[in-house]
Amino acid sequence: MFAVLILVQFLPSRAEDNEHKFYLIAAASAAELVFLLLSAFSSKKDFLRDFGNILSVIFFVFTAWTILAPKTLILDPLIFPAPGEVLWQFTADIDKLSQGAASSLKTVFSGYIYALVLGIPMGVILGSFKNIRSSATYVVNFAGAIPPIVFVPYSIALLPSFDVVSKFIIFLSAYWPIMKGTIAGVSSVEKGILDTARSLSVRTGSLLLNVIIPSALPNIFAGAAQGLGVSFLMLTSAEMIGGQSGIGYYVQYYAKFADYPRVILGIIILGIIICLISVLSAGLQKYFLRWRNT
Amino acid sequence: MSRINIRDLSVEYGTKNKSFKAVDRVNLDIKEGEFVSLLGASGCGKSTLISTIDGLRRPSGGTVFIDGEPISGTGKDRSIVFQNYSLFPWMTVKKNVEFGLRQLRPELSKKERSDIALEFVEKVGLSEFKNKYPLKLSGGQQQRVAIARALAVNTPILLMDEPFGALDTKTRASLQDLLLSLWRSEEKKKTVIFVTHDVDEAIFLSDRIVIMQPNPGRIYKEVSVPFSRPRIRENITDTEEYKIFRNEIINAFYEAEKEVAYHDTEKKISAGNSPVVRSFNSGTVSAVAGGR
Ligand SMILES: Nc1ncnc2c1ncn2[C@@H]1O[C@H](COP(=O)(O)OP(=O)(O)OP(=O)(O)O)[C@@H](O)[C@H]1O
Ligand SMILES: [Mg+2]
Repeated sequence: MFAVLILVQFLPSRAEDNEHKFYLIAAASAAELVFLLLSAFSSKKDFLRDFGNILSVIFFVFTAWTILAPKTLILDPLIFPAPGEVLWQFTADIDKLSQGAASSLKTVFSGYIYALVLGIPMGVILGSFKNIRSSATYVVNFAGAIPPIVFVPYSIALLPSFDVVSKFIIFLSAYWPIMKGTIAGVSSVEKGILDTARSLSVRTGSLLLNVIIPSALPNIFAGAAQGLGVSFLMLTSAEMIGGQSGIGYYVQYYAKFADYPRVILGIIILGIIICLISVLSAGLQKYFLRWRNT
Repeated sequence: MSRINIRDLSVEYGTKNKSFKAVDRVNLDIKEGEFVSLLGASGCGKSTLISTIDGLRRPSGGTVFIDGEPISGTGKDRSIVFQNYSLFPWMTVKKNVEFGLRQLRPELSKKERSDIALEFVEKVGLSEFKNKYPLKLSGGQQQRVAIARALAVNTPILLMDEPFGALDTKTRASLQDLLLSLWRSEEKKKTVIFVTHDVDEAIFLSDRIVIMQPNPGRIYKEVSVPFSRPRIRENITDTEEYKIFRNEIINAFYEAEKEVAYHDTEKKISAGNSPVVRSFNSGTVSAVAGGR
């Protein structure tokens, strides 16, 4: 795939501006080199295979993109700039982008952490006490069903800055899935396991820590992953609606000037960030739920 | 140190409008170091009775005395093993045993806890699996862990609710042997109550068999097992004496059933089909068919 990609770059082009294609060639070569070095020295077969596959897919996309946009002009080069162009933009904008990414991550996590810190204990309480749970069910179902984005106008009126509004909306949208997951896990601990714990006279604190929460962990993780997904959705929406920073803002801002290399760049960066976070969260989950039979 | 005296014990399950009597005025005395089986068809209240003895369930009437003292909930003198193993799946084999020890024998140091856990994991033959998680083990192996956990805490009373019910015949036999040899090897023998609906298992393991009958759950008959210990499976089951005794137990089953069936025909007219009686029938028939 690497060879094809490089070859394609040297095909005669119908577009004018291909002076940046060497950025693409350099980046692709670097990636290929890393891969070759790894294959030579690393023995982790699975990892190498995955890495190789991902690389091939990326090379394929870039090849197709090169053919469709700058080479044959099937796609409008104004809206679909050459891949080299985007890469060049990346090297030029790296400061701005990392600031944007940092700001986005900061916003998303400050909302998300609150959702975890409040959602899990609330879920444990509602999950443990059937009485409270049955009276709270309707409230939870009603409030959880409302798409948090509709609270934006209210939040803007009530909260001091748009940054706080974003965090609040992210908090709200992650809170419900996290709490619901926790409730589901805590309220469905297997009876035999609870009886065993009671028979061993496990005290309340230890019961919670060593039995109920570990048992509920798969559900808590499911809720937390769902919450994280919604958080990023809300983050980008908030940044594009009225944010002053972040990757969503970067995309929205340059779209106004029809600066499409930057728009595409922003989209790609956002995708990469979300992918990395998912990989991280899947890794955490795999580690903490390693006892499961999967 | 651990006599059990059960006096007029009744246990009810309350639903909103009516309550159901699962155990009705049971009286039973168990000597220290005795191995007693509760034998009976599905639904006759064996699990209810044994979990009430463990203190997991409050009786609606009557009392369980241990060494003369009425129990009030679960205690450090009893441990229980369930049919579905009930291990903590997020703890390794060794951690499961250690957790039991930490709860029931808090006086032990961390090192002692670890040593005892390893000792019992070895006794049940799972040393090489000590750091594995339960869900990666077979049913028989999981039940070995549960047995290790229940024995390691060294309670004078051991309660087992159909512990081998979900296992295949061969695994079952080997775990019966394991249980007996562990029980006998202790200088101070534990008092064991063992729930089963397998006639051969009850005979092979126990000093005494308590036959129960359903609707409501009561004791039908108590029979002492005449075979001396140590018991060797093949030596016992081939004897004429065994066949006669086995028949006696199965007949007691039938008599209990007759009484129930009679009891139940009146009810059946008003209450419709009774699943309890049906499963009782099929259970008994298969027990007979399974013999020679
Ligand atoms: N939680 C419960 N709520 C209401 N009724 C119950 C409950 N648990 C058991 N029962 C009823 O009490 C009776 C005795 O049940 P129990 O589980 O003690 O029987 P068992 O002898 O252990 O049966 P098995 O051999 O199938 O385990 C049954 O009729 C059952 O339907
Ligand atoms: Mg039962």
